[in-house]
Amino acid sequence: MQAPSSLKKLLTLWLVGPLLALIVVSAVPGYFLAVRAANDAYDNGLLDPAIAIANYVRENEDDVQVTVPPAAIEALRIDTIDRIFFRVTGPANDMIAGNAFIPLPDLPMDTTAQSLYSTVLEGQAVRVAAISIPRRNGNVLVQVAETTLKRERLLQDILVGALTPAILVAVTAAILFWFGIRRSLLPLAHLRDEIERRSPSDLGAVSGSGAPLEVRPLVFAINQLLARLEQALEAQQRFIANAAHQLRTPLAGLRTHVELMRREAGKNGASTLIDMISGETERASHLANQLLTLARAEPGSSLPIARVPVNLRELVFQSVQAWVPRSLVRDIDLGFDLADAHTLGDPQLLRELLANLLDNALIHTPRGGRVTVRTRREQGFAFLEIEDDGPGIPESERQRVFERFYRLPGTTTEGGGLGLAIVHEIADRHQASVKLLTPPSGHGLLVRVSFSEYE
Amino acid sequence: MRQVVGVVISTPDFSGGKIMRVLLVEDDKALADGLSRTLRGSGYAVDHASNGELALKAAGEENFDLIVLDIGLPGISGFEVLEQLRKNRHLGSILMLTARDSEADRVKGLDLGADDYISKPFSLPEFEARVRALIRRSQAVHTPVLSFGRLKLHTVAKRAQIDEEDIDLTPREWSVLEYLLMHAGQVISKDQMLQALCSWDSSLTHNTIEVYVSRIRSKLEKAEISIRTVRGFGYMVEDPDAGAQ
Repeated sequence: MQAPSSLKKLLTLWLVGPLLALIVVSAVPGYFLAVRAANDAYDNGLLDPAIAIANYVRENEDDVQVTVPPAAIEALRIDTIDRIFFRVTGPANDMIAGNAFIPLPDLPMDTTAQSLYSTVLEGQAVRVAAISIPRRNGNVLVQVAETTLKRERLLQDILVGALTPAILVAVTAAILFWFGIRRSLLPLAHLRDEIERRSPSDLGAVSGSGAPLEVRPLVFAINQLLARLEQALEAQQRFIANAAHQLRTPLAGLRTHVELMRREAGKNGASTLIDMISGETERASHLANQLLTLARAEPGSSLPIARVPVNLRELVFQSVQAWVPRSLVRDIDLGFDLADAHTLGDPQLLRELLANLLDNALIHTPRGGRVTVRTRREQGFAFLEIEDDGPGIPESERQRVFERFYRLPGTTTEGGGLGLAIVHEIADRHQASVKLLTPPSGHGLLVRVSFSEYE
Repeated sequence: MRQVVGVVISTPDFSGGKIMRVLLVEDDKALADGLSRTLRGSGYAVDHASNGELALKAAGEENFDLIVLDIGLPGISGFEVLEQLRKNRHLGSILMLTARDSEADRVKGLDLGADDYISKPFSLPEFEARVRALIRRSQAVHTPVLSFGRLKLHTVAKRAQIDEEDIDLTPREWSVLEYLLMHAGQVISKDQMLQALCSWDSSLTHNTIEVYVSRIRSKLEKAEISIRTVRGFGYMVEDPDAGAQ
């Protein structure tokens, strides 16, 4: 996998890198200029003693002599930093005066000429001033050499003086680049925050106001994608709504007619067949409802679920109307023990969760039994509990009953085995847990759904 | 396509002599047929409209005590019909039939002025109970006498009779009984009763309601009306007219 490239890094590299290269490149001519300046400053001073010595050269008939007064030699030694050497070479290439062998310059013969050059003497870098004076028998060469400490110091001073501001500029520029880049990339960070903060169901356009010109196309593309996604979700939702309508209306018609048929048949028998049709119709209705609920609730479903404040107490309150008559038909004492318990969730899915739990409880509790719905809050949790005094579920089966279409071995009651699977998935999508417990009385089943409390 | 199927076979007593008119707005033929048979069986005069336009036309021409309105209609949706009906000052009750899941749809329907809703696929007794409750409510407006099996309530005189025989009720007992009977077939919470009755009797509490209900129970023994206690919640009067067919 390619490592993600960082704009910040990239921009910094591209700005600071060339800047450093530029500084280095511009320092090269500076260095040579500095070397020249350092030499220029001292070269004249070196030439003077050479000229002075040349003035002491005397010519006899057949030889050349030089007598440098001791005071003049002392003057050459007065320098405290550099060591100074000198040498006078006669026409016969012999040393007439001086204290060292100084490498020869490349000077033309027969004319007076002077030269300044750098060379090495006794292992030290030296600067040499040389004067060549033509004499009858040949040239006399005067050389004065000086070690280069002063020059190096001056060079150093010049370089430090010139480079320090350049380096300061480079460092300051790098810091400014860093902040500038950070500042320029801030709109991207804001954009990221805006998208991160969204709830999964919010597919509205990203505002992108304040986004720089270069980022606008990206915002635009994201918004287009969001719009397409929303369309797809809407289509899916429409499909489910349509499927619901298409399924439920004929089922309602079927139920109505079966019921009418039952009433008609009440007068002349044949009611067992009708009871069977009626039972199957009701199962089909129930199943259609459950499947549609699952389509909305299952984790793979991209349909957004609402997250609004829900008081479980009120949720149960609203369902009482539908469930009490059913409990009366089955001769079950359906009771309530309701206290405020607030959570965040999708009221409709929560109602389905409750419906499936109540349905299970009413189906599995024998006639004359008791079912109690309880809501309460405790230590940051909002609880929904449904307790019955039916046969309960053996501990060994308590995991498996949440599987779709799983039915307890030996069960004869109706129910398609989807109820608890739906409860489980709705609870999952609310980050709630479902526990199957044995009530304090020791028999029956207590289903406890624990939501996190919303205050 | 409007068909009038308004032949009344038997009229339950509680209608006070007047035949109640119901407009059924449903596009599914089989369901519409089943429901109109059921409603006719209950003694109502039933008109059927298979779409929103016909429904509005019918409601414009005649007065209906109840309109059973499907939301998923072809053409003008049930919501628009609902809105239009209330705009036209339709006074009768409206029962919404919905095949949709959406919570928003239900809330929207009730906000637009529906009195109640029932989700498809409903059971027939459930449908009949809702219809009865709505009819009674719209009836109470113009009928002084309401019947519940053998019990009659004279709403103006505030008298109750079993088989023409007066029962002795205190004013408070009367109002509790009237409230319960007006909501027969529905589960009523004690809070709901307190809220409805407290406006003129601030001394009511959960406990006093229990006392009144137990007194009313013993006074109604002969009427065979059972007031069931819903544990931890309230009461439910089983509708004596349910399953009368």
